[in-house]
Amino acid sequence: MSLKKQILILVSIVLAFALLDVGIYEGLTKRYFNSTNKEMQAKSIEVSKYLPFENDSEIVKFDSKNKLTGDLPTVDGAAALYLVFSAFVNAVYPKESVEFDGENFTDKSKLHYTNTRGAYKAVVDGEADIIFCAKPSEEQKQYAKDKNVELEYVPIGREAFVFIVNANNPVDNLTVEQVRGIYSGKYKKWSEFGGEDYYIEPIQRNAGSGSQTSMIAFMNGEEMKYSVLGFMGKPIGFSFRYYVEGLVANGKIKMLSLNGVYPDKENIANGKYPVASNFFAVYDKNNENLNVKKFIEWILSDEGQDIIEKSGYVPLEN
Amino acid sequence: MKNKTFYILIAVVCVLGVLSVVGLMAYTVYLHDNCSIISYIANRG
Repeated sequence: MSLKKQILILVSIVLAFALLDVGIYEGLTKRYFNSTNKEMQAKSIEVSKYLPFENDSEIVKFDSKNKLTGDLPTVDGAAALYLVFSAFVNAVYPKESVEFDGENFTDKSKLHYTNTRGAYKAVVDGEADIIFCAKPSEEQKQYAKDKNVELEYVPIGREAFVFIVNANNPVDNLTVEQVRGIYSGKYKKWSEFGGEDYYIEPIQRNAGSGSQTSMIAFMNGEEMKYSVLGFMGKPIGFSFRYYVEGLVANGKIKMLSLNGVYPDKENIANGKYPVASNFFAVYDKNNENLNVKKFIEWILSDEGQDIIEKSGYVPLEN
Repeated sequence: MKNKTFYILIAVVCVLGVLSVVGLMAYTVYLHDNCSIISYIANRG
């Protein structure tokens, strides 16, 4: 074989692998780059940014005169509500009740954060006295039932369940039925709603997460399907409004209006946005710690509701 | 170039090529496991 031919073959092989690598990078790798920091990636929220009793914390600071004393309830909850229940603790717990080792809360700490799935398990197992979450999934209800634990759900505020797309997507509004149709496989392309001629990739979250449970409820009995061709198109996802707008604040995504109503605080409060729902303080009905009810009563008072509003959520009185 | 040298070079280039593909795929799987729904949508402009 001539030297020229040998070099040609070698260069061709190198180019073939290079093209394959570029194809994988452009088609797959790039879509999974996470724009948030490591703490956010690991915990869905920057726990250290919203710690109670820290001067540089970004929670709402309020020093209540109604401090809890004695047996303090251990609290836990969802990522989207962490800054709220951290602010509650900051307002009515003593400083020494919270211990954070730089990465996690210690076992002795009265404030914990294990997100929705961990929190529902913790309240049933007796590791948490009060958790702050959206409604539980069927599995979480069953887990409580299996352990003979009856949970009490006290509404403490309201939040919108929102649908998100890339900021460059020309579609700004969908109806509730259209979103259900997308997730059930009835609609396949963005062009069906005046958008680009791309397939729709309906993204779901992991089972048991607060937003996935809310999405199942939103579907009203319709089964959700994954779109095989959606992988080549452009996605739609779901979350809670303040998590998208306040906690992550990624300028490259946008929230969709539903039935022509944008999910801002005003439209949640006046009931115009169609999928606003309560979030709850949840506790075991047989919990004998008197501070559990006392704490929740304070959360429902003007002070507690003011913290909810100033944290970016919608209080109950609205 | 001798045929033996040529075949060795092909083998080396192929091994390096396969390693680069495997490495990139492993990196992609790692990113996939840590990617949030919001980052994923933001990346798909």
